[in-house]
Amino acid sequence: MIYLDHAATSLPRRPEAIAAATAAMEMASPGRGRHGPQEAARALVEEARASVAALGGGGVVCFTPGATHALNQAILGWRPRPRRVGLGPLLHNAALRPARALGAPTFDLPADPDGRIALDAEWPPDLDLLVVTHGSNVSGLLQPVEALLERAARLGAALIVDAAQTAGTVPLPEAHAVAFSAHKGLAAIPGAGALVLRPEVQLEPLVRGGVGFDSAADDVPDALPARLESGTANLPGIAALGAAARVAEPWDWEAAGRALREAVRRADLSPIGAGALPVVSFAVEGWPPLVLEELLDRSFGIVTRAGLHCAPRAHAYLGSGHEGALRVSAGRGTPDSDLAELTRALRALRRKAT
Amino acid sequence: MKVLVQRDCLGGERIVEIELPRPVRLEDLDRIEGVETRTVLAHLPRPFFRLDVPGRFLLTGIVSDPRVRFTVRMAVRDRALELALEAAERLAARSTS
Repeated sequence: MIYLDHAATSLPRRPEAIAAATAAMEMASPGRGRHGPQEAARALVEEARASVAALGGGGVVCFTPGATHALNQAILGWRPRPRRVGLGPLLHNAALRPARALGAPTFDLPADPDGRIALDAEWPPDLDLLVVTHGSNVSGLLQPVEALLERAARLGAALIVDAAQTAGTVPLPEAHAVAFSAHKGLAAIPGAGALVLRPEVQLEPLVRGGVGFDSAADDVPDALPARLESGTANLPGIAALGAAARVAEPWDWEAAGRALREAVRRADLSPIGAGALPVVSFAVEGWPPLVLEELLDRSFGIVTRAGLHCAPRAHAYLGSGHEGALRVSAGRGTPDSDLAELTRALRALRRKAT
Repeated sequence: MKVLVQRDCLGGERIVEIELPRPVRLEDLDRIEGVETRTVLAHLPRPFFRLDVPGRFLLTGIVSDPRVRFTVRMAVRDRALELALEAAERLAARSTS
């Protein structure tokens, strides 16, 4: 199998992550009681928290069940409730749907044809919350988050960033809230993620329950991360995330992105939009993306992903909103030979299809 | 005949995947009615075929493999399983010639 669906989930998982998760399966519940076994589990969680904090983001690491949960928590829990929300053009549904569910008026942040947010465009003065994707899961475009944060600060707006495609690949940007999952660029396991919050951010928790202390109080504590971590921790998931963060050495993802684009171009196909991450979408005339996905899988053993990629807004913006596209995405371990095989397969298809 | 998958897909179409009792042969494709376009990529490592039956479905699969996929058009999606099974029976029927 040639696996080119790392934007959905990275395979193979990090061995360190699997080992950490396996060991954590037999551990006690962290922060529950004062006994030795929970103390070991609590120490593991805090060690994981420190490792994840080292990825960037510049805030308090709150563990979540994944990026979708983290984004819902940040967006729906934002306080005071936003007056107007600015939405990036390439948002995934994990951010777009909760942003719409907020019920506040929204504003489409102006952008160039590739979806790069225009920093010098006019924004409404009552805009007080921005929600953007750090790296597009359709085109691989990276938003200039640092500059966006500066612009937001001048307006008095806060910035929530979906870093699902970049965590473990690119250093996490600093923002008011940064959300990501464990199982993509970090190649840990599904079911865990994090929301990195500036300490001053006030969120209304989506979930309330026991936190292991202050049990007599009417509500969960105000302090982070406990405020957002009610219930028994997903220790295997957190352990795996921590282990993966610890060993997430820098890699040349820009070269991987260039190589992937080149592999598509060598088959005389054009990537949709501009991007830098190793995530590329394209269409082949006369071939519905779903059929293309099936053909590559069954004829060549190449795993790709067809459709809208849970990002219909991004596809609509980039002009592929009708039936989506075929996406290929590479990871740390993707060898050049896999990309050569992709090119060969696409050429073979096009030779006959045209 | 075994129905492996039934699910909705983008644009309101419905996918039905069926495992035939035997592998598909090229001549089996002749028994599908109403085909507008027939594409067989015989040069691929595992030869891929695609039959477009307008207003009904797109049939795809691998020659010499028993698993086929019907992408049933939105207009007839309520009859997706029926149409797919009917066509699958034709594919799997013994040749009379």
